[in-house]
Amino acid sequence: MSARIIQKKLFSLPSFICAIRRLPAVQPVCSLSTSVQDITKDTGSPHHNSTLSNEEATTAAALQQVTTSYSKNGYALDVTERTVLGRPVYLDAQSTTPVDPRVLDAMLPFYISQYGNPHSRTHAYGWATEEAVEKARASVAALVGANPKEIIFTSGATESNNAAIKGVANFYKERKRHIITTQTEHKCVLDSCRHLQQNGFEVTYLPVNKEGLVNLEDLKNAIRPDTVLVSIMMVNNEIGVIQPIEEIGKICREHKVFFHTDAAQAVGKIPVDVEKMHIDLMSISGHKIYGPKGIGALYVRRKPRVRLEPIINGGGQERGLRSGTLPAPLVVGMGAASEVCMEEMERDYKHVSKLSERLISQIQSSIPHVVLNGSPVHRYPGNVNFSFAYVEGESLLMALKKVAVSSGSACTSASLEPSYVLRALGVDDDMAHTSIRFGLGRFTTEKEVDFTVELAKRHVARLREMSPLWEMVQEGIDLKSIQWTQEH
Amino acid sequence: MSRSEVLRLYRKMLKYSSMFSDYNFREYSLARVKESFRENRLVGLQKGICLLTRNRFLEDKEAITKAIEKAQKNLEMLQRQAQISQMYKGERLVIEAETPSKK
Repeated sequence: MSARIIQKKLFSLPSFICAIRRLPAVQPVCSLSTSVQDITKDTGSPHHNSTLSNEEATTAAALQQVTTSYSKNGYALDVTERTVLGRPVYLDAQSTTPVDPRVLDAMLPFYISQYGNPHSRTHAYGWATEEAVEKARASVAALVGANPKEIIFTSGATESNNAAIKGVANFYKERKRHIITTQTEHKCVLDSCRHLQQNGFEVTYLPVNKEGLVNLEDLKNAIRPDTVLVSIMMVNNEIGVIQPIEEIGKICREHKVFFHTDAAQAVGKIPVDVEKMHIDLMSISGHKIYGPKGIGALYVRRKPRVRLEPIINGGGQERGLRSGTLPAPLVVGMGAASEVCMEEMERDYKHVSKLSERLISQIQSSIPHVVLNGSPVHRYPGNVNFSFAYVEGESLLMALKKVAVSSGSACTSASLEPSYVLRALGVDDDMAHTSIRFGLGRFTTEKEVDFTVELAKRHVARLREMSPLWEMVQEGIDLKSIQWTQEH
Repeated sequence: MSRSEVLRLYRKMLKYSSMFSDYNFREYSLARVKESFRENRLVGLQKGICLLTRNRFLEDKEAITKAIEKAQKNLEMLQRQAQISQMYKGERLVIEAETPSKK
């Protein structure tokens, strides 16, 4: 069954490649089959050296390629793919992270014996759980340099973003009707802004330069007397670019505009200080900092006070801004994750930087025509987004089945359109389609990175051999000068 | 605490770290335990070379006991989590050996 899926994927290539097949100058696919078989036969075989350790043999076996033979018409005959023996190596830290054992250890008592509702004022179950929740709140606050009273627990960064943007906009909607954001924000921010646009607000979407950074002059010019909120994310989830948050905060403070930042990918990984960066509202996500899924936090500044209209009404918990029973195990988990992050931040950053340098240098030296998307300087090292030219993106993702990576962000991976973040960077559609995001985290090892590089090298080479575009590039033809459509 | 007791604690922590069934947690835990004991060995060294002023001696002792208590707590956490990891085993990763003990 997997063979048919691979076949379907190969035949659903973008239309411009299909257009090539009509040109007589290009060789038909079947004659390329011999070269494919040569590759699959030769480089894939593991060593028959018996002195290899068990581990090395397994890794070598895992690197073995798909063995495929093609018929005269180019249809794949018998795809005897070696079944992936085991779980793929996890390199997708931006979509989610594993729960740290220390965090799980802190959470379990609240699923087993300490099951009280933290809002129960009348008995010991409630008091004990409330104490734990407040301790967790203090930990999260300490991680970002805030006061515990300024932290509100939500169900995740998406809810925090919604609450911040819609809450502030609706509270001040009598006099202020303008919001500023960027084109590379997370979908939940863009969708909240679109929803507000439908309710009579005006939104300015600031462009980014080709490195992914926002222009401060553009921001200054976009601020109007009726601007209520500026929302710019700290670390982009797709390309890892870090925006100049401190300068943006200063500009917003000068013009008396509220500054919201989606710091889901930044908190716990780079030092964040809400005072230094002049942040008024900040979204934090639990499952990006090695905590449980289903919990997040919103930082709401108290001095000077930021007023919000709550999007969830009820019993008035969380300062009236987010009603509902707090999920004590998740809250405690988030607190424990914050504490671990505070302790490990320096070590994690060093570890991830080392792995990132290794990954980037190895890929750039061993695979030609690769582009790193986003600024090489202003970035979080754990997020590496490469575009492989002359390779079909979906095929590469399917081929890299032994490594769990993502192309574009998890939220948009269901649709086939290229990532809007890459489009905002000015990346061509074909390069945007072949972008792969490697996510490195606390638990990633050097061996996993080496394995990924080796696998990418082999599959990129294999896919390029099959691509007529690659042939033309090798011959020195400039692809931009080709007329794809026939004119009569 | 004497040097041999600290070493015993270290070996125990390494033993439980290697019991994690998940490759990533296992590698991380081993590396992290080794790193923190290596960093903290200077705490013990200070005790050895410190001058005989009473205060200095007490300070060092406090730092050592604090570090050891922290390690003790982490050991208990490792024991629990390693057991849980064994109870809820996932599949092996593609790069892990079939039988990790054989070499």
